[in-house]
Amino acid sequence: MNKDKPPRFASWLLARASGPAGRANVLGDYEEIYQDLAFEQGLHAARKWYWSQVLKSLPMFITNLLFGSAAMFNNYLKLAWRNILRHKRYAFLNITGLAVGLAACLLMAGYVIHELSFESMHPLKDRIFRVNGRIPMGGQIVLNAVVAAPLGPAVEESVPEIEESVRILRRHNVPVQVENRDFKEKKMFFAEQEILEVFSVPLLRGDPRTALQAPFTVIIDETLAQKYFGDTNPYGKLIRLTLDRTYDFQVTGVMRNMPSNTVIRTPMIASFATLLQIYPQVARHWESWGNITTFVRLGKGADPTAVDAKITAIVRSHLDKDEKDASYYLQPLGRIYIENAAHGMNNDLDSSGSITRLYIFSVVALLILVIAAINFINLSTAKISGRMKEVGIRKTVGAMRSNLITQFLIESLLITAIAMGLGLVLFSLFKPRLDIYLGKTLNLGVVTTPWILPAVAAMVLVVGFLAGSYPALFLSRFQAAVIFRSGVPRGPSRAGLRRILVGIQFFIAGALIVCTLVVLKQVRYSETKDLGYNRENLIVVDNRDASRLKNASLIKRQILSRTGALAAASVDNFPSAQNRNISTIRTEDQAEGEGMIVQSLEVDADFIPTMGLKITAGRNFEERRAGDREAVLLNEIAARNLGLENPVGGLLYRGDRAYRIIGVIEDWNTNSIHSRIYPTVLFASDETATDLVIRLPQEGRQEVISRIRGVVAELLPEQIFDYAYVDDLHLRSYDEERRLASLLISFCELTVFVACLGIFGLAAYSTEQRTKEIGIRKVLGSSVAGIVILFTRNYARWVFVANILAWPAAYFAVSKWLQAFAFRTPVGFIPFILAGLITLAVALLSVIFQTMRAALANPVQSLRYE
Amino acid sequence: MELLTRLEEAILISVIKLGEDAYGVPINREVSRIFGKAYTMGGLYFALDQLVRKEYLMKRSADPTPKRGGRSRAYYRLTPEGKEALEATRRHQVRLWKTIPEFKNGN
Repeated sequence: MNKDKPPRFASWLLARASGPAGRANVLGDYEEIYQDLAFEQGLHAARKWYWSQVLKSLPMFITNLLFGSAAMFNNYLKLAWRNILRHKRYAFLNITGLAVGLAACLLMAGYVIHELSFESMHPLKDRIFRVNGRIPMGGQIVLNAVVAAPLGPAVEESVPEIEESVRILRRHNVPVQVENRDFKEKKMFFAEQEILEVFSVPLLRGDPRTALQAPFTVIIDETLAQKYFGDTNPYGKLIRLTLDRTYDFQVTGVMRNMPSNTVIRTPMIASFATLLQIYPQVARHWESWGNITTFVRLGKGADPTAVDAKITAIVRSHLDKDEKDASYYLQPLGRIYIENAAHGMNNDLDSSGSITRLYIFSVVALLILVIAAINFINLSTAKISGRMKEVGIRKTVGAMRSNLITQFLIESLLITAIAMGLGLVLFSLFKPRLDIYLGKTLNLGVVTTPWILPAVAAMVLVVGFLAGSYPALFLSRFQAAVIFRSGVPRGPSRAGLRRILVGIQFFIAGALIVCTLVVLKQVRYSETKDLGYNRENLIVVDNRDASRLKNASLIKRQILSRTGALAAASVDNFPSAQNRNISTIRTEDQAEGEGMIVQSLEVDADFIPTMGLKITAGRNFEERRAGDREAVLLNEIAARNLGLENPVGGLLYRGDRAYRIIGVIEDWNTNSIHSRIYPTVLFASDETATDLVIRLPQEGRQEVISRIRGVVAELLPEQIFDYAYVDDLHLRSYDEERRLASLLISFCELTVFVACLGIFGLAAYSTEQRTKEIGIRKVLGSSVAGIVILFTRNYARWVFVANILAWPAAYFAVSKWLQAFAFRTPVGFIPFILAGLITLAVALLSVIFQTMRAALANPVQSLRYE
Repeated sequence: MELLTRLEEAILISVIKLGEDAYGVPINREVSRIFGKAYTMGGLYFALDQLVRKEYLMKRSADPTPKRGGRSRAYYRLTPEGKEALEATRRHQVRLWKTIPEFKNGN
């Protein structure tokens, strides 16, 4: 190597960048200085200088090269525009596909960013944690987002790392009365004063230091203030909330509406002091399970893992021996929303997001964009040979290669820019539909969201350059003479590249369709699976007032005798969704403190027949039978896990009380089929059961319900009649999956649509190219069918291969997704076959349409000029 | 007439100063001296091209020399239009400064 020469790669770069016109001169100048430097300061310094100069100069040279002057740039734009108009069909296919892909991608990106931005508005969020319980139950650990009420103050006092604690109790569907108008609020909190400081809740009115100090005070957000009081100042006004009983609360503050991306989002916060006054026993009651969400804020630099053990030790020192296996840990605020669905958190503050869903969405969005970009590249490369002559003529009249490159790039950028503009319009149009799918309103707008426009601009550049660079570099290479002499020069297997890209598109489409079909299958399976009891015409009625008056069975008897209901039973806290009651029990042989945590249900003698459960051994409860207050029934799993072979007649202990096992029931799903069936123990309920389960007759259900309403109104005038079909409650557990399914369906439609645009364009192009061939074949006696088959065979083969390859990928994806369910539908082969048929059919339709037209044309027309 | 930018002004002055010897390397040296910092070569070419396009400078290629790896030099010379532009810019400067009384006497 020649040592006095400047670095070869650097000078090569410089030569490319400086353009043919100034090349010799520029390179010469650089080399001259290089030589001087090498002589004066040595080779190393000279090389360094050369490189740094080249790198610093590159951007300048490139701008110089591309937009030598504004006039030239205008000229390029004009040419690009004319070319788009000349190839209207390609431009249309390109622009539509890209726009759709971009809109979908933006929507999904917006959603994903919203989900990832949870809690970002709390300035101290890295120091805020929630105390969660880890409770062993039936051989597995159950996570619980609520703890006992005394825990908060106790840990704040004795754990030095904890600066501040906030206790929150959620209430749902709370009836509110304001100036004699009735409302019902979906959600409210009871929370300690500290919530305002720890979560920096901005108050528009009221004193943030005292607003939630006194009992029976409440703060509401702007929306509620407007709804309740219109434009008048709500401060100091009274609102009436119905909890177990009705209480008057004074409005002591108005807070700004909370953003949609925080788990502590609520329109109304009442003071925690209220709870302590209504239920003084709550403040003293230690238990492993609890019902209070407790947040703590740690001091600066405190180690959260060290705090876990301290909290656990404090709780254990207050608990009975047999509950000591529960432990506690701190969950960072920022992770609550994203993590909880995957971890199966119980009693969470809000429906939680799921990282799985985020992955699914981001991947799908990206795939759609990939498909759209592939279309663009495919159609542009297909067009190449059609524009060979144009290139030849341009070169003949003196265009330089750099001019041609610039022109192709600008054309490609222009198409992308138009597509992106259209994409933004589509985005705005479909944003409301996304909100409906997700069940929440995202703060997303083309102008209001700061990242959207820069992101779109970046996408224009990337997609535009990528798609434009191939034709630009490829086409501009040939000499005019070569082009005119031999027609279209052969490129590096362009058709092969296109086929592979089409294959990728249909690979994605096929895999997506398989996934969607399996998700749909699982949703159907969830909705129709036999849960072990008959849930048809079964309703749950809120009976809280009766439980307060301790006459749950009176109202049940009245309903049975007067309304035409087939059966009715009292049950305390009817389990649904994630809501279950827990107890610790042990057998005679187990020492105190060993025991097992089980799901407990307090029910009366009518529960088993009303629900349609099957007793496999022993007997049901009998009303008024002496000793049945201390009797229990087990489900089969509980009997098995406790190691009881002949459970009937044995004894179980809950705390120090003994219960006689009188029967065993076949297992049934008390909750959704996401979770497996827990070991369950039925205890005898007393008059304080909070719910009634009622079986309605098949005919005239509405009349029966209105008669039940009458009975409730008569006996419990203060009770608000609230009921739900058990079937609906059950179906609601799969809302998330149904939402996913409907979104996936839309995405499938999009991908298939965009992929079809692509294959349609390609087929159109290749038939156009081969018009003469078709004409000759027809003249020589080929049939229309023969020609169509000849032309479609290739596409069919590629789509077919793409599908086969998509199968294992899709299988892997859906198996992962199905793991969220304890009970899952077999994947089966039908989704795969179906996906293959769908993609094949759609692809062939778009191809055959084109080839048919060409094949039916009269050969005279295509051959006339030869 | 469009006014020159600071860089263009410096380049034109350097070209005048260098006379017969005005090509890339010395021009860059002069400009760097005027501004008191090393000027990137690439930035200079853009401005030079711009000035040639505006016809303030004339460009001509000379014979290749061995020191330059056998590459030719491009020499620049001021055109009458370039001189006019330079003077117009200077007149403008003076007029501008005169509007402030303290600088009236060319301090």
